[in-house]
Amino acid sequence: MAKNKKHIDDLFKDNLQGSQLPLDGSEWNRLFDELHPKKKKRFAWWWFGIGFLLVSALGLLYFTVNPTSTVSQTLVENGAALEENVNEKKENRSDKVEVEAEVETEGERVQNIENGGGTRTDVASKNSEQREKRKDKNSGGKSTEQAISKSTNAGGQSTVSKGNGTIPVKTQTPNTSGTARILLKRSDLISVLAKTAIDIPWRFNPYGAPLLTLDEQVDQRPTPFYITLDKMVDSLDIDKTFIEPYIGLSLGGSRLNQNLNSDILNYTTYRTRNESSGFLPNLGFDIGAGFKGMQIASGLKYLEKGQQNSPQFTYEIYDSVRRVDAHGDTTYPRYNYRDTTINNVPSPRYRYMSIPISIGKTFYEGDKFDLSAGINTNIQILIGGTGTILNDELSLMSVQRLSSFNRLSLTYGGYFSAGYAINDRMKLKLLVRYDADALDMMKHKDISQKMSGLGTDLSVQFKLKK
Amino acid sequence: MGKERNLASEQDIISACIDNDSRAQKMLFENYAPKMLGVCARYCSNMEDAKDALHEGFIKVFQRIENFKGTSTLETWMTRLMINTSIDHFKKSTKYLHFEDSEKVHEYGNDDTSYILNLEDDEEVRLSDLYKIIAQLPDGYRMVFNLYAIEGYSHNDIAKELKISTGTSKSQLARARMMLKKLVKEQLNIG
Repeated sequence: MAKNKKHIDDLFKDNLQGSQLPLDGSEWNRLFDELHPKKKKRFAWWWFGIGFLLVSALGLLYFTVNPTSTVSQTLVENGAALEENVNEKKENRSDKVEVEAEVETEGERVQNIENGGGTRTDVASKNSEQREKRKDKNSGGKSTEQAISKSTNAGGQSTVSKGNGTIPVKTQTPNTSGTARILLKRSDLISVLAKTAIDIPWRFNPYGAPLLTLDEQVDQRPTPFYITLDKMVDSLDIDKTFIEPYIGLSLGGSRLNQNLNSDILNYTTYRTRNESSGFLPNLGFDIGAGFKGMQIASGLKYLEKGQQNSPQFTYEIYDSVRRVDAHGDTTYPRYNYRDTTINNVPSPRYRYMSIPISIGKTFYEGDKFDLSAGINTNIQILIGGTGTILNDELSLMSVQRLSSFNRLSLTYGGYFSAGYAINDRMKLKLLVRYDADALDMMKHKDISQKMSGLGTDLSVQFKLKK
Repeated sequence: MGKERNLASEQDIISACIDNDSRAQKMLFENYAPKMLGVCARYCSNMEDAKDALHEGFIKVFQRIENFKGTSTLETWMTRLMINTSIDHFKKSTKYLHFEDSEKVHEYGNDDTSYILNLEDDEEVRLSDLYKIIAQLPDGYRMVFNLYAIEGYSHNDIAKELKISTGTSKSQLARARMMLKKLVKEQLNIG
């Protein structure tokens, strides 16, 4: 056969210039999605936050609203009437009549008089003198709901005065030993009690509202939460009890190891083999409080994560890099420009601002020393980076390209600390902690890069209360 | 529903693409994508990179199509964009491009007669084999060879494009030719 001489350039030019390669439909779909992006409905975290704040604000408002602001002169007058009754009860102790008062919601504001045992009958008032007094006081168009009175005669019969009339109420068969229960607003009672100067023991019940008792008996029914927050806080008497707030400064560092999980075999191999962990610093401001031997602390911290490459560090990347050629075949090219080593690769560093949160318990407390242990978490925001890492193509990628990394990071861990009280206000604390990333550092579907390791902090704490 | 545009001519398609008409964009893509993938595949070492470059290239085509003045054919304009995108794609993913020293060019020879192949008259070379061979070139060699031998760039243009010296461009070309000749002989039995 005849030979045809052809320059190597022409062999490729004649065949490849203008040549076509087949495509599947996915290419257009991918392009279309980018050219005409759908507006994604993102979860409205802002609305969630606003809703939370709104609910919190409403809750605060509810608990801090002052019910005594609605006290009118009528109540005071009615309080005087009650005072008379109380005095009467004190005088008639021989009758063993007991008075109970409890916090009451407005809707249920009725009065009920009971006598122990027997059948219920409708009985008209026979203790007219005292009732008439109260009736007169309440007859000026004032709220009948708030006009509250109680009386018990010697025979145990009871009536109710409401507003401008006397309302017969159901009572049990009178006897000489009975219990009278008055249901009225706490604010009303406060007014009354202020006048009567009766020493009322305060009790804290599990439902949150203190019960007022005029005598020994207390109604144990669940009561609505109806007490002002300031009163509640006052009743805790913080200064004399257990909360010990402090502020502090801490300086420390961590030695971290990265946990790589990658579907890209070479990537995992190189990263694991070539990178060692290093000791990197952190600096923080702490604020916390002790609470019955428990400590809760938070603050703001600057910290660095990363890997420390030695000066002799090299990336040894060569022919083993897998290639998929133009026909979809997997090949391992013999000639690859990457068959070289790259020396003195700058170590990758990641800079974070962190909000640490820890909860711990003191398990030994001496005169000067104490020992504590607890759990901690960090909410971290990536703010910068330096150095280089390998990308998934085993090429070097600058860490400064923060878009390749997840900005938010979350860690979990635990700590052990030893404290030394320099004086009654200052404490020196040495802390050893373990931290582990809960979220991936890199934005890559095939690479999971997380760091974990031990760290230590030395902090100076200043108690805000002696 | 708006009335569908008439996309009978290439100019109609271009006008509709300027207006972000997805039907026109699809027509343009279907008309040119296979050929443009051929261009990208020459510059990339694997099909995944070639498809990525094609994707990026078409994004640029649709973003810049209003700049197309018609001084060349649309295909030429698009080919130029695809080449630039492939080179950019290559530069982006490869921070350290390895170009060998131009002083050693004589070792490989720069005599054009060294690269003459003897083909049988009826010898057919499969396109896929040529793509496979060119993919085996180191990235630096492949860039220079494509730009010089297939696109017809001068060494000065290549030097500017790749930010290398003309000497380096020449040495890369010589090495690429040597390697190609060797690969063609080994894999296609043409020598």
